[in-house]
Amino acid sequence: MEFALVFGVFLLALMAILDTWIWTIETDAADASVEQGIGVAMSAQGSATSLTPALTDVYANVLPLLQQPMLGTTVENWYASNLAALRGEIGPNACPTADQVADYFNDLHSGYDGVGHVVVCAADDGDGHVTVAITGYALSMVPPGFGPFNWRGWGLPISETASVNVGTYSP
Amino acid sequence: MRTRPSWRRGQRAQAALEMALVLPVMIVIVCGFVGMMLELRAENEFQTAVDLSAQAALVPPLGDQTASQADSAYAFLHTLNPSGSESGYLTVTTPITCTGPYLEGEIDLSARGIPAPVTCTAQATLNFSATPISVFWFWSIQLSATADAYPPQYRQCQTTSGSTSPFQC
Repeated sequence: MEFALVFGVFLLALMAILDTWIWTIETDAADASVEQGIGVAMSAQGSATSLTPALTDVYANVLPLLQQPMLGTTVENWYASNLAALRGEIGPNACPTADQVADYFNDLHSGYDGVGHVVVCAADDGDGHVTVAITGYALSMVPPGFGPFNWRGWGLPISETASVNVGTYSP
Repeated sequence: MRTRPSWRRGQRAQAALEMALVLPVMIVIVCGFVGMMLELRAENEFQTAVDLSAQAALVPPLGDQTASQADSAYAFLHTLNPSGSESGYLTVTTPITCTGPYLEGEIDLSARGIPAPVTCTAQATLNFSATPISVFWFWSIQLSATADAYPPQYRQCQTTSGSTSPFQC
């Protein structure tokens, strides 16, 4: 009996430690991707003097950074056709929250409770700023209904955002 | 009336005692590890916010100090996202401050032709007292980040009156 008790606690502790470690790796990758994505998005669509952000180029640029550390979580393109309905709901000047992404995929019956998808979003707020966000729920070992935090079953939230003023690559 | 054998009662008491000894140690290990990971996360995010602020300071033309300060402050606040994942335990104590000849309208080239950078710094405090992790992390941690951004060539030419640069646009 004592072995069962101690082993149970040990397993719980091990899972918590592994989950935190994986989540740290994933969020750090998201952080680096957002930083790179901002550099791509903030300017240079068409020409060096253009003030039109290159929003649709962000996904292809950050995918190599994100794909591997996400450990089985699908990295989705905000401008892909499968997210057209969510784009329509959120509008052209904003990015979705992690819960909006998970709810959307839950409605599509993709992943338990909509987890296992993160979206790479780049949006122009219409006021001279460009925002890059990586949001969604990454796969984890958190059992359903566990803990008082902002968790979903088998998923931990990823929510990294950066926003800067639009600029040009010219004087 | 039948009673439980004394050896079995003793075994249960021993199991409970061992559990009572092991559990606090496990909790401290888990809280310590989770706290360390959250600390690394916060540090990384804080550094990213300062990096982007330094780069944002170079978006306005040479010598437009007001716009440079405003752009870097905007990038800092909207990248750090205090209402997001770090809410509740990260407090900015010294807001972003950027300095450098670029902001004064000057381009100081080094002997190797590299312009002097814009340097941005900020400080924050990490405090887990409002979270369960405070069982182990009961002290606060000071975060300090510095980032340099070098004016690219297309930003090194004179555009405003009063700016001094070896290049003309």
